[in-house]
Amino acid sequence: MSSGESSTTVSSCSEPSDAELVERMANGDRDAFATLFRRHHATVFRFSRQMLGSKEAAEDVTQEVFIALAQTAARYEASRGSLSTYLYGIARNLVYQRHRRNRSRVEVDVDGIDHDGSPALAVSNDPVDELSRARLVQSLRQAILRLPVHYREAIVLCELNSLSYEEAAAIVGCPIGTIRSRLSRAREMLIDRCRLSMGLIKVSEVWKPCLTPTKNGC
Amino acid sequence: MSDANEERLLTDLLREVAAADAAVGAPDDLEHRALSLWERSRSGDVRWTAMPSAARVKLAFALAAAAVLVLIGVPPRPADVINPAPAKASAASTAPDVPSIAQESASMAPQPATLSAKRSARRAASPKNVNVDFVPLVPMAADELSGSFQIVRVQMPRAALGALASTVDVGRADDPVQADLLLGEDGMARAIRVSANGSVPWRSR
Repeated sequence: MSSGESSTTVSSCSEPSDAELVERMANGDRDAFATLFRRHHATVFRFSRQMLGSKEAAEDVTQEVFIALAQTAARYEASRGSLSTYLYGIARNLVYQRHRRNRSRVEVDVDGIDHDGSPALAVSNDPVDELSRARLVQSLRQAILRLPVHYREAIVLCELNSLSYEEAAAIVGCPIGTIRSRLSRAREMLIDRCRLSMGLIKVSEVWKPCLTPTKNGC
Repeated sequence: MSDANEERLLTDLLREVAAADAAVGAPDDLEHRALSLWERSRSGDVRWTAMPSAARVKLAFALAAAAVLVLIGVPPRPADVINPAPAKASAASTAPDVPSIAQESASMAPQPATLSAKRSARRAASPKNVNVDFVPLVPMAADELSGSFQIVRVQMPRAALGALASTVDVGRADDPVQADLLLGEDGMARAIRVSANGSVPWRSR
């Protein structure tokens, strides 16, 4: 425990803070840009991909976020929040721009598309076998992408990226209560939609065996 | 309404999605791409944004379509926000034997009938008309001009621009040329201007 603490201390002393790197980047330091990118790009990429459902679009957004950071570095104040929150905010704006531009279509990741195209209908005698968990997860992914964008971002931030309500509220720029209510509503919508995707069989009926701890697990 | 079991299952599945997503990283070359984009943005080649992948494809298509239009003799219609008059004057002084697209389009294509003279005059007086040296690449309807546009600075081989005019200097075909592209909201290139030295390369010889 103590060794872990000391190593953390050493690393935090030897590595420059985000704020220092942002300042250096604003002065044209290429290494600072690269270091910040390595530190934070995975978070930005994951958020963008979860919001847009497209790897290519997420790559574009990730690049644009860091270019925007470089160009607006002077505006970043470490005292007002973490760089991660700031980057989420930029990414969110870019995602919204794309969403407005592509309002008529939903981008779905080709990697995630089920190629046989058949709906996950629970019509066999043993629906638990029929509906693999992977397929259920896939249904959930699609349902998330079809959520209205305000609800989608609540799910993506709080559920998929484990941010607190406070952090999500800071990113979205709304009261914490709004995040809570959006999250609650989004969960209801997801349950409804997943239920539909499984041929109107109640999720709880299909998966009840998994919800009860057993020796074998599930 | 959802029950407690459904709620628990949803939480379980969301955790699964989160764990799967956490394992998926960005492509290895993304850092390199971002770094080169940053360097170009600092040097002024890219002013403020990365061009989306889809836009890159559309841009290539638009440029090819514009080239075909010119080669088969279909004149692009002049855009109201893009006043080609100064370009016309410039063409006359530098290379009168190579007419620009703007020159051809201004003389051959009719103005959109839907615009009254008063409205045209108001548009001419508006700040939008500052972009006097853009040359339309594709015909634009009047309603397309009301949307917002993005300007993206790109570098392309001179040969790509040469295809828009009637002559190509084979010896300089690979020379890089900087140009500003006016992109519509759909990412399609609407017009082009050359930004390297203020002259239009296909008229600079």
